[in-house]
Amino acid sequence: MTTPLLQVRGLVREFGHGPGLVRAVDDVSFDVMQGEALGLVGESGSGKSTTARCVLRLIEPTAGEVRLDGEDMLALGGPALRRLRSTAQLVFQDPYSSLNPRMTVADIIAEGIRIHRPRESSTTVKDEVVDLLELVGLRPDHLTRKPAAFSGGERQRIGIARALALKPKLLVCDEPVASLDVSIQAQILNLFADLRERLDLTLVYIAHDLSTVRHLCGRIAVMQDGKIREIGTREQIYEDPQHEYTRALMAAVPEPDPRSERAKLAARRSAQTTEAGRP
Amino acid sequence: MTTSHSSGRAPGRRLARFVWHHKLVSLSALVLVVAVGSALLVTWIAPFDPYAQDVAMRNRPPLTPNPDGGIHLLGTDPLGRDELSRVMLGGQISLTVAAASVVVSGLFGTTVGMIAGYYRNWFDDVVGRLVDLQMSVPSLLIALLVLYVLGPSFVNVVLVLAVTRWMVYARVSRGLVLALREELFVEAARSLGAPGRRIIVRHLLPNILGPILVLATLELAVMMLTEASLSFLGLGIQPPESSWGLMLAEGREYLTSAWWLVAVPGLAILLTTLSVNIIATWLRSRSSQAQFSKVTIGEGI
Repeated sequence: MTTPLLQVRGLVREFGHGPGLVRAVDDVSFDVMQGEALGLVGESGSGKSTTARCVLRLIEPTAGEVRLDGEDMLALGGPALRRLRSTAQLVFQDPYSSLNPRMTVADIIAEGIRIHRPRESSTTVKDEVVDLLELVGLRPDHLTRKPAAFSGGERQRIGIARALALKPKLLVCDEPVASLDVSIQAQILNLFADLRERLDLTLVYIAHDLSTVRHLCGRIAVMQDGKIREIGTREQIYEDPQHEYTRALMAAVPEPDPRSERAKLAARRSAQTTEAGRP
Repeated sequence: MTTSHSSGRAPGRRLARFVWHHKLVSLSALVLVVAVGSALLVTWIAPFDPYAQDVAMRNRPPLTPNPDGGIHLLGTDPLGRDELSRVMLGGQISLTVAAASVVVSGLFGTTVGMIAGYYRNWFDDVVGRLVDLQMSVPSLLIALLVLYVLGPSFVNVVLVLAVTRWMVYARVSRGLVLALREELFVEAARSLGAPGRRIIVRHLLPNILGPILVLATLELAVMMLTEASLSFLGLGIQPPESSWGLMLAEGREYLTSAWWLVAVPGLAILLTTLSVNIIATWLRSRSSQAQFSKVTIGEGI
């Protein structure tokens, strides 16, 4: 058996201290194999984003172990950590505040290349940036514009291009479509599926509902209150959910057929009123 | 194709519209242009040699004709030098000192403030204490003490002014950086492996430059007033060089007999600092930075 690309063991992150102490991530362990796509699902506040940031060491975990490509992510510091950072990259939820408003698209995308290969000639950098733009479905004439000139979906594509510039093996996506229009969401999801295939990317995909994860991720972990409640293949989670929280999340997925959706809602409403005993 | 009512016009018309809508700002800009212009061109446009003494013509009131031709528009000083030429020369030094000290204190204070705000480590604590300490002591007092020890000279005056005002930039830039460092694009840069130096220079600095420039404009007025105070007290610019504060000091003993010796440099100080302040306030109202509070930049010296 090959070693996983990402190994997370007993990850803990606490915020605050004393009586106000919160365990945002509570003993989380999981593996992600090379080429796999793991969905990390849970309601807001369940610790998904904190887990992602700890894994990438954008915030320091309180305890635990993170191994990326065989290297101990938490033991490294300084230049060695910065080198390892190119192995795993993050795509952010908010495509607005994640792009520096004062930089051009070319500079935003080229930043990683300029950091890790400072001696690269400017023509090579530009060629790579143009390739990246095409890869994410943007036109090269967008290069000299600032982020303000773009829509949310286009901005998200810029963010993806920036993350891909370092040719990472692992791409962590923190609810990348949650703040986009529904019509754009599908495009971005398809882009991820496409990129995964073309670049042999490993994905950790964070979402707060099960529907967006469904056609992207082969394995799904369900998080609640900082803990992983259930982890399994897509088929296991969707067809035979074990944990009650998973079942609650499943029930919240809207049905594509309006008739069955209405039936589901009506069933839930009647169940709620009998439970609460209200008139 | 029709053009919108403001963009398609000749530059002259647009300038006229601006002047019409911002009369006070335009007037202030005009005052500054005259002050800076006459300071820059004093060698060529001064009506008389500002250093040429003529004891026969001492302390003459404004509009006195010179026997060798020309009119002393603003009178003459106790050494018979033309007051208008002197005030232009004085402006040259006053404005240069103010601008140089704004640049030095701005560069130093902003750098320190950004480093403190981004890293939030021991350096931040040290800077914080230092700023508090310096805020609690009147800066003019520090300036006088330091100048007394070092001895007054152009470079020393600039350095002392910078030392007394750097913390204003440090506080503002630290505050702005504290807010900005939580932005996702900073996190994105960190996840790309950008070192702190790069994040500060490439990501934070461009985003705080606007407010810092407005602050620098306000500080220009503060620096001019402080330099005038220092020179007035005798520890700033030394004769035979001149600055507006020094002219004020020299004219003081003739206040009852030759009012223009005080009124001319006094008005020069008043008008330029007022204009700078008006323009700075206008710039601030234009900049959309909400976190750029009046409290942090409002205090004078």
